[in-house]
Formats: sequence, structure tokens, C-alpha cells
Amino acid sequence: MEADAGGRKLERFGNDVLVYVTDLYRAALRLTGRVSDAEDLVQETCLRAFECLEQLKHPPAAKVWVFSILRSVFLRQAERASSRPALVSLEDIDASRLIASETLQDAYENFLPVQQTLVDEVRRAILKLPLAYREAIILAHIAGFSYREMAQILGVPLGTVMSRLFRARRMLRTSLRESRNPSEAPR
Amino acid sequence: MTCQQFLGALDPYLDDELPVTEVLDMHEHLAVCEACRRIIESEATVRSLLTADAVQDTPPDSLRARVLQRVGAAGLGPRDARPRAPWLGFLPVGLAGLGLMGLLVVVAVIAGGKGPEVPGPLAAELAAKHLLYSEGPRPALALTTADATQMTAWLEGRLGFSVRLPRLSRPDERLVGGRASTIADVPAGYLLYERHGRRVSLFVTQPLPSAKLGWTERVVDGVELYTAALGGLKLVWWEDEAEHRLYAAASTGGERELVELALLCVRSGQPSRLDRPALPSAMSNG
Repeated sequence: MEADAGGRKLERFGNDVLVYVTDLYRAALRLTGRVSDAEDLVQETCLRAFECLEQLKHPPAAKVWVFSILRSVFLRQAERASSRPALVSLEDIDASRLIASETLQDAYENFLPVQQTLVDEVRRAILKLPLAYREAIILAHIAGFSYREMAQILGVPLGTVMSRLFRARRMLRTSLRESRNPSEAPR
Repeated sequence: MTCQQFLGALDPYLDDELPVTEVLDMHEHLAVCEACRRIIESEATVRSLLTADAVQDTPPDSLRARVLQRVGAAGLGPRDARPRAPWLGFLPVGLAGLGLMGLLVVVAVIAGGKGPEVPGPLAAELAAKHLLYSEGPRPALALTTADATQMTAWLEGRLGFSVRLPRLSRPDERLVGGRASTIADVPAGYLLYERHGRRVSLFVTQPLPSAKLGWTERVVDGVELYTAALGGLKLVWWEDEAEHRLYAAASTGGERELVELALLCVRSGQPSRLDRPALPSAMSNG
């Protein structure tokens, strides 16, 4: 009886969690920046997901749930490590209601072609982002979450998700532009 | 809509988070504003670079094996201290504000249609999303690729279920790209094709109750198809009963063209499988 339950749990784990292993790995790689750390992070995430699988009451929510675990495991690991991740200050993040003039100014100032940018440069630019912004880019572009799902995973209001994404993309554009035109980097 | 309003809504527009009526306002503005068109192209380029970067890496095969090994070991005996993971309530994936009434209005407005058809809800939603994703200055796709394998893997990662894409063989037909979407609030994959110079949308989702409402049943070469017309659009859907999937296609072309795509899809062999490695025998049998 107990063995049957274990088999069913493992089957459920395969259907609800393991199907996302590629997305988890891609996200982990951009969070940690290293293949070996990413693999460890994915393994630990999956193990934790398996251990508390009974908390997943609604299988369609599995992806949001398992990414929440990934984030929680990553933050705990980062906290334990002596080098803290490059967090931005709360003021910087949450004084972050966007105003219309900001978006307008941003669009024109940063409007420079990036068509020639190499994908490798994009990777480097993502890794350079402070964690709060990197997370937003990873969840939106690597994992394909909606704003609402991102708000759930990050535990922040929808408006904060939007402003973090906006600023993250602005930082990315600036970084890509500077990597193509080093002379434009701020002195 | 002013440029300022347009730019304020640019991110949610490109992230597919705007209600469909506002999307149409955006399209109207784009049609007349060269400056905003250039900005949106630059923004879309950044996003396509991010997507291109996202699909580059695949985990080593051994990672799944290691995960299963650790999970298998954990499953054999309870751990003393169980870690706590946050439980988060579920909110379905979907386009906010894409209500049925809005869709019907949009379809009628865009297609200029006062035709004799009385479309069911599925036909209205497919037609609206075909127009929304395939029309406009540039198709609203998350991944632009002609590589069906890459597209399939990307979609399956987002949807959590397998999909079967048609195997194209003619020189004048190609996959353009795709995105994640919803049909009747159920996660769906969206693929855009170009066939004989026309844009054709293909949707993949799970079987929907009441899907047959307002459709005409046809059997072609032993395949059960449901067809409808709405405005200038032709629509068709069919089910893959073995895989428990519903496929639907939409285009401004003829019905025959869509039926041809449906048959191509049905005959494209087995769908690609999600990465579901065999479970350790000791555990899978309990």
C-alpha cells in the first residue's frame, strides 16, 4: 500500500515537476551564472518539490509553484554563501511606480539599434543585472510567466513586477549599447 | 491615442498583457506613427534576443537521472526535517480582459462581417486571436523560428503537454514562429505559418466542452473535422483523441487549404514527447 503511494507520488512528480526541468535549468543558469551551480540548484529544487508535493493541490499551478521553490532555494543558498548577491535597495525597487514621462524619455533616449547584438552579449548583460531585475527578466523571458504569475512567485504587487521589468529592460538596453559602443559608457 | 499613452502601454502590449481593445488602439496608433513604429521594432528586437538566448541551453541528460536518483532515495524513507515551500494559489494563465463579448465585437469590427454565420464561442475566440497575433505591423510572436523541433520544445516547456506540428514539404510553406496563448482560459500553443503567401494560424490545446457549437461536421479521408466561417476567415478544428488534444486552424484562405493543413498535422506521426524519463523501476511500480 505504502509502496503504491510512493509510486504514485513519483509518477506525479514526473508529470508535474520534472517536465519543467529544462526551464528550471535555464533559469538557474542565469541566476547562478555557472553550470555546476545551476545543476545543484535544480537538483535541490526538485528534491524539495518532491518532499512537499502534497502541497501542490492544483497541478496546473505546478510551474509557478516549482519556480517559487527554485527562488526560495536560491535565495537561501545565496544567503548562506559569504558573497551576497547584488541586491538593489528596497528604495530603488519600490519607489518604482512608473510615470508616463519616464517611459517616454526612456524610449527616446535609449532608442538605438541593437539588431547586431550577439546572443552571448545578451547572456552577459543578464548576468550583470542586480538580482531583483535579473529575476524579473528570467521569469518573463526564460520561463514565460505572466505578470500575475510573476507577482505570485516574487511576492510583490503587479505594479512592482511591471516596474522591475521595465527597468530591467532599460538596464539591458544600456548594457548592450555600451558593449557595442564602449565609447558611450558613462565615465 | 498619443505617443505618450502608446509608450506607457508598450511593455504590457509586447508582453501580451493588454486587453484586446487596447491592443487595437495600439495598432491604430502604429499605423499612423512612424516614430513609435521604430521604437516598437527596437523593443521587439531586444525581446527576440532574450528569447533566442533563452532557448540556447539544455540541461545535460545526466541531470534528470541525478534528480530522479535523489528523489528516489528521498522517497524510500522520510526525511527528518521537511523543508517548507510556499504554497501559492493558482490563477489561470490568460489574456487579461479578453472576454467573449469583447472578442465578438472585435471580430465583427475587424472582419467587417455581417455574414450569415452565427459563430460559436470557440470560432469567435480563434478568429480574434488569429487576427490579433498574425495581423498588424509584425506578428505578435514570442519565438520566431522556422525550426519545428525548436518550436515544439519551447512550446512544450510552456504548456506542459506534447504538441504535434505538421510536417511541411513544399517550398512555399514555412513555420514563422509561435507563442503561448489560451483558448477558453485553457493554456494553448499558437503557431503561425505562411502557406502559399498566406498567414495561417494553428492552435493546440486540450479538448473543450461545447466546442462543436456553431460548427459544421465533415469527414475527410477518415478524419473528423469541424469547419466554420466568420467574416472573411475560414476556421477548422479537429481532435487527436489518442493524445487528448484539440487542434484548430484559421486563415483568410480557402477551407480546402485549412483541411489540407489539418490532414498534414494528423498524418505527421507521433507527437514529440515531453522529457519524461523512465522512472526508477523500484519506485514506478511502488
